Amino acid sequence: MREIDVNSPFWGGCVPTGAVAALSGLSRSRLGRWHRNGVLTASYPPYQPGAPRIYTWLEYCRARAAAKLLARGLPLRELSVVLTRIDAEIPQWERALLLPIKGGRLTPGDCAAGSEAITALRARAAECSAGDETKLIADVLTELVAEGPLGKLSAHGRYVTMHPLWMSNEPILTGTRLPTRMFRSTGPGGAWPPQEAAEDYGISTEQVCGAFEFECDLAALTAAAKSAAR
Amino acid sequence: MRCLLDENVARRLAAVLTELGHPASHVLDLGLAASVDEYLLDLAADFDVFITFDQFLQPEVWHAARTAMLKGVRIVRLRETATERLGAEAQIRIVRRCWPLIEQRMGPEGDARLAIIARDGRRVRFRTAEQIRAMSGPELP
Repeated sequence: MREIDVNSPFWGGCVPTGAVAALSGLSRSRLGRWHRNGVLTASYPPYQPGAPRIYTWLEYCRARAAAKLLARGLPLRELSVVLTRIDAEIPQWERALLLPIKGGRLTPGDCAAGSEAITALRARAAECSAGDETKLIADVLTELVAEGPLGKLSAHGRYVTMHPLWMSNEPILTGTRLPTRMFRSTGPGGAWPPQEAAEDYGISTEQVCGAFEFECDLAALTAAAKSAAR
Repeated sequence: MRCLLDENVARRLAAVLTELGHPASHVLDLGLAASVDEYLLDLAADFDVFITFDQFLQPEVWHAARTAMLKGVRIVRLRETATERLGAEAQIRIVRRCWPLIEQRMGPEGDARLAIIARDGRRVRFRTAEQIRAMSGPELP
């Protein structure tokens, strides 16, 4: 397995608007507004008219951080400044949310690898008084690292993950190049029985069911984010 | 045509393609399970055809795929929908059905560099090097 290039342009990653909304808990209309007024912009315009905007991995992580900061009472007018501060003070903080890579493979387990800067921030925050901005940021980043890459669907972290270097950041079965979308028809009454899918790809039935359940929950969250935008 | 099959394509398809006269290697048989996108696109340059379910959604990945196609690599992208059965049997059936057309358009005499197989193999769209050069991104559903 080739060594992973830490400066590869592929680290940029990409997450379509719908997934950002679903996994961060922000509505699509809010994301659209923020994109227009510069609070949180998506780097990539839609490929085609009507296609979603594409957020980089960092921007997706910023969206999740923004949702948590607002939920903890940060005024909206200060959000942009705080997000800029996080980027400036903790370089590559977004990588701390990813599964670690060992020998070129994604390793399930501790998501906190590579998060030394966040740990240092937590140590600094421990000396701050309650309500201090540093403490707020440390709490939010700690929560994000604990959630891992899947945000609101972190409960599916046993079988599913996302990583910019694998399958363009699509949700995949951990340790494979199998996108979860491939297993949409493996549910009860579906066209593709899970046992057969597992045999076809040499994976376990639990992994197939995990992918299917993740897809169901993602579809439900995406629909909720869509209806919240209306 | 020497074919490279991505990990997300059924392993049994390699034997079928070899039987059809096109030596095929599956990523898993090469010991490259869970390879990163960048590595596979580099590797695809050593083959004539790369078959995958990858959407090349990330702009950098699409750019790398486009560069590979403009250098001569042929990519066959399988596309699924929510209702299609994607098992090995289905993939074999789909590829068998489409292969004469793929051979014709992507073989030594053909001009296509990208084939997108959709709707259970009932629709195959081909893109030539000129068309790919003009595309700003992958053709999404």
